[in-house]
Amino acid sequence: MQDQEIVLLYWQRKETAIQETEQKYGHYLTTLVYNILGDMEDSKESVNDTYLKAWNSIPPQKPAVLLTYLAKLARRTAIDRFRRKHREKRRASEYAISLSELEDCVPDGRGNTTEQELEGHLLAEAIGAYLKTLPEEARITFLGRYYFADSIRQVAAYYGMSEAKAKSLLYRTRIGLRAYLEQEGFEL
Amino acid sequence: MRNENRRQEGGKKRSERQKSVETISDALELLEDTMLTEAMQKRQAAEKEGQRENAVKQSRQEQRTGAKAEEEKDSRKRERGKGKGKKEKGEYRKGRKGWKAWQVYGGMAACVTLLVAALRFAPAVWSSRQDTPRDSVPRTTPEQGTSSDSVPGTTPEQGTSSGSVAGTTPEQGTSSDSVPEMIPEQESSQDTTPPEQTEAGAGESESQEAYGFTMGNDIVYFPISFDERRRFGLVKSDAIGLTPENTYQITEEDLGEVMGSVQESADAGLIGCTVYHFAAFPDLDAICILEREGSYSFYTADGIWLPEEPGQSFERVITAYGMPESVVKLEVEDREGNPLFTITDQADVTALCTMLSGKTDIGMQANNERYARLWKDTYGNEEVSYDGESFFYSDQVDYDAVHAFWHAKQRVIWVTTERGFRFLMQYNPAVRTMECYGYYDLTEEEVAELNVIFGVDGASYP
Repeated sequence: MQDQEIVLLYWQRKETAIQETEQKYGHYLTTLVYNILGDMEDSKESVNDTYLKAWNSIPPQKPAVLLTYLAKLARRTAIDRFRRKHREKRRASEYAISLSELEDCVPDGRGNTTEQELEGHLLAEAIGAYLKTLPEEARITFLGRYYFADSIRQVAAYYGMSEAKAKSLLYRTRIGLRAYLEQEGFEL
Repeated sequence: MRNENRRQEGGKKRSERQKSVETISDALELLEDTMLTEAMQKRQAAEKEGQRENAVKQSRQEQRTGAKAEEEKDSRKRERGKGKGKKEKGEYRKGRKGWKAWQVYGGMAACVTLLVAALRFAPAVWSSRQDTPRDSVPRTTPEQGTSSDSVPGTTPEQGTSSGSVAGTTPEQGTSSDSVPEMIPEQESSQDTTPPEQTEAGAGESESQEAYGFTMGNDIVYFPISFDERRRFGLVKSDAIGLTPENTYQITEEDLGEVMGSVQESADAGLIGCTVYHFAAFPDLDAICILEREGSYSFYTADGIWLPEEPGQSFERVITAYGMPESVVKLEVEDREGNPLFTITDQADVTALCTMLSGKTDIGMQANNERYARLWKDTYGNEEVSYDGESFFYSDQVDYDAVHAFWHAKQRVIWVTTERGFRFLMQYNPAVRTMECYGYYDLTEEEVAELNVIFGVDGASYP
């Protein structure tokens, strides 16, 4: 079933919308969430929560690309669950590992960083602007690793590159992002 | 007390950094949908390719198993001593048929593999490939010799000559060679360049996707990136973007000998188009000019596509690239990608190739198992483990410390050949493997030798 047809089912408040969503995207969402949580039971619960959020938000939302919309909901749900469960310690999941790599992107603190509240949208704009300057390979590999929390092997497979090259590419992208954020005056 | 304060201070800083990292992670959700959708589509395509390749591998495996079962069956029949003479002749005939069948299946499998590879590399967003570098490998100090002549890459290099002191060449250049060296590769985080303009202009530059092609072999060409334009001297080294003014206009005078014609491409319109050497670099296969409906475009290839599968010999890499004679230089970096030095001594290159030539690919899983085993052998626990698919880290270990333990002495080596190709090797002394189109086991003696070549000191581990 096409995305528009599934969205229409949501708008018509037909429960088959969830079934169709699960049939079309259930596997994809589960693997996405599993990358973050590293536990299958938690992942299934998280995906179910995602369906509920989709049901509660469509309408008024009318996503043009349903998978992108669902992936955002799923990622957010999974990350919230991850943080609730593992605030104090690291859990073995690709998301946790990718988070540790993102430390390379944190600009050096200047001043009273704990006091500053950062506008999320401004930061997102800056990151988006930086990613747009990158070649497609670097941009997609970065998002694959740090948005979808795919493993190095998986992101290397996007372009058929070796893991070594993927690691090298990700490292340079992280360092470049840090330099860019520092240049733009971000303090995190 | 002081230690306690330090621990608390360290913990506070760590939690601040953790918060910052989470902020960045959260900000990714606010990125434009188009960017996320683009990544998602690539991800899905890669997943499908992986499934398709697995299906092909499984099919080949089944054929092999089937052929092997046939052979065993025939062998058992022979052992029973039945049907000698006439039946043996029949069996021989069957064996011949079986071999012919293998030739057919092998050929088909090779075609499928090549097609899968071409499709995998094919789709790319045109504008981003045109605007920004595809490969931003940082070089060492700027390479001297950026002359203003029309044939870049031939200015004599400064610094030491090749063959004098292997492994310690300061970064003023390499030996004189035909591979363009004069353009330093720089980090290019700021490029915001408009699409490339060719002579004919409209068709290619306005297309939203860029497709690669092959000429019936294992080399996949893609439209040239901005970074490669700098590498081949098509834009000035200080150019930060491609503009109509600085875009190299290809004319008939730039056409060298015919290399071939496009045999496979996801863009059907490219098939049959003639491909020429670039006259400025007549010997390089890594850059070429494609003629399409009267307009010309540059295309480049990183290297030769070679399938990777456990059990394959490194000899195929040596043969494909014509090593060691074809190797112009080895650029050595540390695990963080920081350039260390360049090797041009042919003796070292030959030693490396000789060492690897008899080896077979042990596969990624075996390579990864070595890392897990190294941890266990060193620390006597399984706080880091590998289940054949993923690594797992217990809460007691620090991920960064684990990777520093594993990779502190790692060397990343960029190999450049005289045809202009550039591919990657990764030397992992901790687990005694070399990664390059597969994973290859090294003996302790070989590690000792490579440590000298790649400047790794005291690579023994507790």
